[in-house]
Amino acid sequence: MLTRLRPDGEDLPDQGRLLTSVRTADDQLSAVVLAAQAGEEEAFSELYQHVQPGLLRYLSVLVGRDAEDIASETWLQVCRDLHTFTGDADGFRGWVATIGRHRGLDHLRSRSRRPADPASWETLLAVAGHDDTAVQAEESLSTAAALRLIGTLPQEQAEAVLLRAVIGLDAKSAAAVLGKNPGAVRTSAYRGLKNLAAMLERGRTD
Amino acid sequence: MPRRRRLPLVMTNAGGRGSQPSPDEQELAQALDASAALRQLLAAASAPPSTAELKGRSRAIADFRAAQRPARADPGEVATDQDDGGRRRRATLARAGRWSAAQLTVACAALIALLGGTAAAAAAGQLPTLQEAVSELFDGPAPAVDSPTPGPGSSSGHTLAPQPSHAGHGSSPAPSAAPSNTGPAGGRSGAGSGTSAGLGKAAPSTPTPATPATATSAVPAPAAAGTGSAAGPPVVASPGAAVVSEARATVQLRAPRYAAHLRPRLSPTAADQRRAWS
Repeated sequence: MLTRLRPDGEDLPDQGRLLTSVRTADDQLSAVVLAAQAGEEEAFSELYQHVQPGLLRYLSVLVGRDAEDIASETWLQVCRDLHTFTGDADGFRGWVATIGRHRGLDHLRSRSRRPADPASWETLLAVAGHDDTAVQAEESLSTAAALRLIGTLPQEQAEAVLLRAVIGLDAKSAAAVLGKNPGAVRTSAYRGLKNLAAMLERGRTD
Repeated sequence: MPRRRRLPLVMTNAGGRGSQPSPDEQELAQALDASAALRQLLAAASAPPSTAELKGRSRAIADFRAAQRPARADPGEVATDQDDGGRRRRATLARAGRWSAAQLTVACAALIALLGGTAAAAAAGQLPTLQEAVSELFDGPAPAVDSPTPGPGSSSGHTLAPQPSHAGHGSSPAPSAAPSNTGPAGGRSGAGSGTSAGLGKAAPSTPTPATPATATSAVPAPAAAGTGSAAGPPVVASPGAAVVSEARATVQLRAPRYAAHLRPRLSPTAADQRRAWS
């Protein structure tokens, strides 16, 4: 039976246990990818639960409020082309991120050609959510604030930080997603983190 | 209940790919260690998913289920999928529209050529044997071809004098002016009497000799061609009406004349065929 892939541990677990759990999680994710390719719905659901949060956060920085639509399109294409994928867990995350990035950039191009027509407030009244808004806001406040801060970075630095820190790609896979060499991605991620640290330090002193 | 934060994956990747982390990963780890606030920020950015982030799960699973079905197994079910089916339907329609436009153009051109050629051949009396047979099947057998016999009116030498056509060209497409050839050819009305002789199918071919008054009249009366009111008093026409009437009479005269000239070329073949069939 499939188990949870991501270690939900404490803030700073010791390094040895962490490495073991990461390797185990990646191995399990590779097995889950194979199971989903064989047509198992449960495996696909586990894949979705594992990859979707990072993908959605990455897309929210990339395209803004249309991130959910782009993520849906991304998963539709993943479903259609899943049988063509070959690779391990990291490769799968990179593959999904690549599809999402292409979709997002296409969306940005089309949005620049056609200005959006915002829905009227009468339309929005009919779309009531089923979840508790207060709980959702409390839960997503810190995550949204963190993503907003990352979104203030230059785009290549923000993408490098998100791909590496949020989606969890290594430098080689992130470079494949961004179409750059791994060294450039490492540099961008490093500069982005340093900029973030500087911003946080400035905010603390102010 | 507060959510437990995960360790940022950038730290897990730093050691997860090998025993010795690369220099850039060491730099990343140092950057994280140097700033606790940055570490908290990345932990927040990679927090466990909320329910809102996973609300598209059922739709994704439905897409996955639809993608797992073979495309040809149940086209109706595939078509109900909004995105995939819609895209396929649009592509099919675009392809069909492109092909149908080309096919429609070719079909229209072929139809116009076929109908035009048939009409031209029919007008010239040169229909192929098979089409001639079909035409006769619906139209009745064409009578035997006679040699054109000049009527008495044709000897007048006048350009507008009617050429009495040979009797019995029932398939002539010229307009019938049958009422005029049955009426007495008196006065100016005689100008149209010979024109209609033998043109109509049902009208008996009774060519009326033109009277001397007809031969000398330069402008035929407008009412003489087809009204049949030959017994009435002669009508004095205006010059414009006379020109129109003259043109109309010319058209009515020439069409059977051409048909009469063209018919003998084809007729032997058609007659032979008919004889062979009979």
